[in-house]
Amino acid sequence: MEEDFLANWTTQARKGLLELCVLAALRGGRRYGYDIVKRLSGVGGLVIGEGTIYPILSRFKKDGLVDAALAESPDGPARKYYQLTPRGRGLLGKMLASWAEVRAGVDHITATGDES
Amino acid sequence: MTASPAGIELSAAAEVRLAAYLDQVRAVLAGVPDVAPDEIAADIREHVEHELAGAPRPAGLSDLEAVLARLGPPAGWLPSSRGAAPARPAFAGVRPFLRDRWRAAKEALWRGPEDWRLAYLAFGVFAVGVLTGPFLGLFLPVSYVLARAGIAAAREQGIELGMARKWLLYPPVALVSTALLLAVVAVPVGATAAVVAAAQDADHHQRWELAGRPMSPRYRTSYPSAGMWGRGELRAEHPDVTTALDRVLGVFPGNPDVREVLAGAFVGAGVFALWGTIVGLLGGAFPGAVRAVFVPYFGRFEGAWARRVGVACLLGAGIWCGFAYRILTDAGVV
Repeated sequence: MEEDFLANWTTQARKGLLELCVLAALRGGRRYGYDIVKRLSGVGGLVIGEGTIYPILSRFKKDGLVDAALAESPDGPARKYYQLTPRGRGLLGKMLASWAEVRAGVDHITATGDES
Repeated sequence: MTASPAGIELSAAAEVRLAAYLDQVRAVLAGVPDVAPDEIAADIREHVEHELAGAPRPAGLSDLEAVLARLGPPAGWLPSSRGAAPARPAFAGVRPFLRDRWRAAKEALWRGPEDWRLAYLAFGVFAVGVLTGPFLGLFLPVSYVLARAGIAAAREQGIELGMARKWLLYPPVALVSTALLLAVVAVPVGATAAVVAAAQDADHHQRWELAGRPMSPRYRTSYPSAGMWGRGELRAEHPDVTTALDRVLGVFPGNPDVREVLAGAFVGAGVFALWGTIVGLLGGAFPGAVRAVFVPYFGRFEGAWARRVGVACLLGAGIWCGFAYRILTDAGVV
């Protein structure tokens, strides 16, 4: 019972954060899909199935938050690179600000407990 | 061992497993309105390619299974707060289904990505051509060009065509490619028939000349010609006349009818060998053109195969020439 609750809670918490992290991974410039997946997989507990990232990228592309383009690769076949659009960059800024606010609040609550 | 279009060299079992996994990806995401399942399948294929870059070639099933396990089951990929469309009971309603399809088609046609728009346009033009019957000849080239553009657009974007898009894009392309393929096969058949007919015509005329240009008893005219005689009729009327073709046919075994069939088959073998040499060597020199012209049949066509066929046919044509020379020599024609 407790394990089920924890698993469900973790999944819900992770889903929203994963979308934030996908956009944040592109903040430094264009990256190809595999690179994004591997970068985020390195964050403990964030990515359960690596395939999860691709539908998020597809949805972001359709929503106009990222652009995708094939580019020649020196290592082999052409790779599909993703990069933030101005709209995606703007939304990322707002998401990061919102996340910082939530995290600060959560940190405060969890650190001090119910002292009021 | 197979090589996928994206360049992953997989064992046959691994290729089947990957295809099944990608089908599962498309099936799971098909009902999700804001993602492109074909694009995601292409991304997954690229991901697998990267993961297996260091694996021994061809990559085996166990290597692939490890990669797929890390990717996770596609059912768990559904975006947050947006699930797949709920499954409808079978035959729940044809109208809602058609309405949804119509909306999807309109959306793809006017606002969708270029490759989907071209797919719907290509199929629409083709369907209009089929429905208007005699005008198919007018609509088919247009739908063919649109379909080829749709296939090229998907390829440029690294999208492996899913079943739905294949059904939209392939009918006009397959029809034209099939016609071209039949034409390639028909050329030697037609050439053989033409050579045989020309030989029979020349033989008939020579027989008539050797017989002293006789006038057919059926015609009352002062201008005799070979055309007045039926071939069998002239032969029966002048059995003593021996033409060059008679001497050539005499080299073949059996009665006269069997000899003619054998001689025709021999000519056909020579024509096919010559045509096979031309087609094989051209296909070997321009494999890309073969893949482009005969889409979707020869997607994995390689020039080396065609060169082998061309060289084998060239060898066969050489042997055929040797036999032909011997037959003509034995018949006293050469």
